[in-house]
Amino acid sequence: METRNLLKLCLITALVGTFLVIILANNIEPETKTIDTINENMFDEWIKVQGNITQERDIEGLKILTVNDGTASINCVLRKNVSYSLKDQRVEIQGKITDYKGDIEIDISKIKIL
Amino acid sequence: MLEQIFIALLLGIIIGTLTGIFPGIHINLVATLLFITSAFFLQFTSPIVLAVFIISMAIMHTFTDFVPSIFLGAPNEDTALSVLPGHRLLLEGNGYAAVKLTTVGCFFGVLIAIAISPFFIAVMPFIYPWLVKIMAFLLIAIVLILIIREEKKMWAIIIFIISGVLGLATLNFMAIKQPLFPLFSGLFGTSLLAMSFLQNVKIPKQKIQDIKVEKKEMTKILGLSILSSSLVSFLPGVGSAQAAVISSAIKKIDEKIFLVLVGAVNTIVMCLSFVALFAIQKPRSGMAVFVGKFLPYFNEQQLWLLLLVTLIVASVAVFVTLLFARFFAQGIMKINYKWLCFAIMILLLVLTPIISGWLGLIIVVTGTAIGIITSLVGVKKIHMMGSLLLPVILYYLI
Repeated sequence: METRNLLKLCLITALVGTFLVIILANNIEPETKTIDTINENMFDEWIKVQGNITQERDIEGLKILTVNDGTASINCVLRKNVSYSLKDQRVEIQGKITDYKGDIEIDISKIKIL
Repeated sequence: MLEQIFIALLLGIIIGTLTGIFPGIHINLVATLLFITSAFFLQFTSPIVLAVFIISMAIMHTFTDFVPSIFLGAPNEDTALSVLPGHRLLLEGNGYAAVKLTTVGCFFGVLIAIAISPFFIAVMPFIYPWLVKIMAFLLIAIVLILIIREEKKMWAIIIFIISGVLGLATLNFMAIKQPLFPLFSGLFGTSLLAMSFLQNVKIPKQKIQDIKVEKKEMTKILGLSILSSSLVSFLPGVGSAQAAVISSAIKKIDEKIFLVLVGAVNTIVMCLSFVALFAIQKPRSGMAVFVGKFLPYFNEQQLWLLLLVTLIVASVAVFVTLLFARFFAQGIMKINYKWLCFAIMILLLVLTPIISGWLGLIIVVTGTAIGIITSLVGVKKIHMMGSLLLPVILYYLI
């Protein structure tokens, strides 16, 4: 293949590919789980849970939210500055399962008040 | 206890060699498996023994990781910038010497990191808040310097922006596991392999010889690696890749000596991430995260034990890495390089869905296209580091 044609093909692929990644990243939804099914074998897995915020703590610019969905509770880390209280709100949380000092947590990527 | 530490060190060396030599196996994967099964191991041993294993594996991996990067063109985010200079030396018959340069850099990096650790333990809690404030502006200045230095400035800007947007989208693509694997396999791995395949590159007979580097030049480059590594080691989101980019912007570096620099910043950043865990109680590398998990009350005595382990492993790593480099140098001529490139491309494409999921293939293909554009228009591969720099700049700005 001629260099000029290869360059054109690669430019199109790069632009279309980048655009596709942006679209997919914003539109794919994770699987909904109940909190009691979350375990340490699911590290780095992206999930969605729905529940009520029963506790809220502010630590070093982070908000630690305790979410209960009726099956169990889990701590969820919100890395954004939210000035208002989220306590007692019903929320839908998306995030990756992580660990903090032996406890399983959800690192929140998206939070929606229901 | 001492016997257990010795066994952990030995196992770390063996596993770190395997993860380094085989493309696509990341030490984070092994560390995660160890963490998941740690309850079982902690019945027989103590957390410090597991931390010794993690550190031995990490340091060994840092050394041996350059062998597939240089001989096979299969890099990760830490070794990506070594691929092109390494590949050029490989085409001159100096693949062994290229690995030796990175090994020398890695070893000096460990010595330097241990020497400067007491200084950082003392000053880091004070300068850390200041570093956080300037990091975005420092990185913007670095990007501008690199673009200004480039002859084809418009192409450099295009490559930086496309790579940056791809990096940003990939890191926010939550469905992708280990997002840096497909990103860097595409940008720096499969793109180079595809070009070698298309151009039918032939590998000449490899010489087992050294490349002389002037002592003065070596001192300068190690000084530069201390400066750049120190800037990034204590901050989130930045690591050895950014340190190498910062160094390139500060001083124009000869390709051969650049390999020493990449090696040195890799080990300095890795060692200082453990110092950061002690000094500011924040883990700044994947490995430091796991050490922090095993040793939640990480103290100075444990830090020095781990740095001593680092020194022992580094001494062994020099010989093991050069042994593998010699083996690769002698073996690579017996293989048809064009088809070896093709086979490694297929391997990276097969590993992508296993490690990151099927959607990772879109990232590999897109990254490959950007990498090929960079080669065709003749701008430096370093601009593709926009894939990490743009997300980090935005992280510190917003």
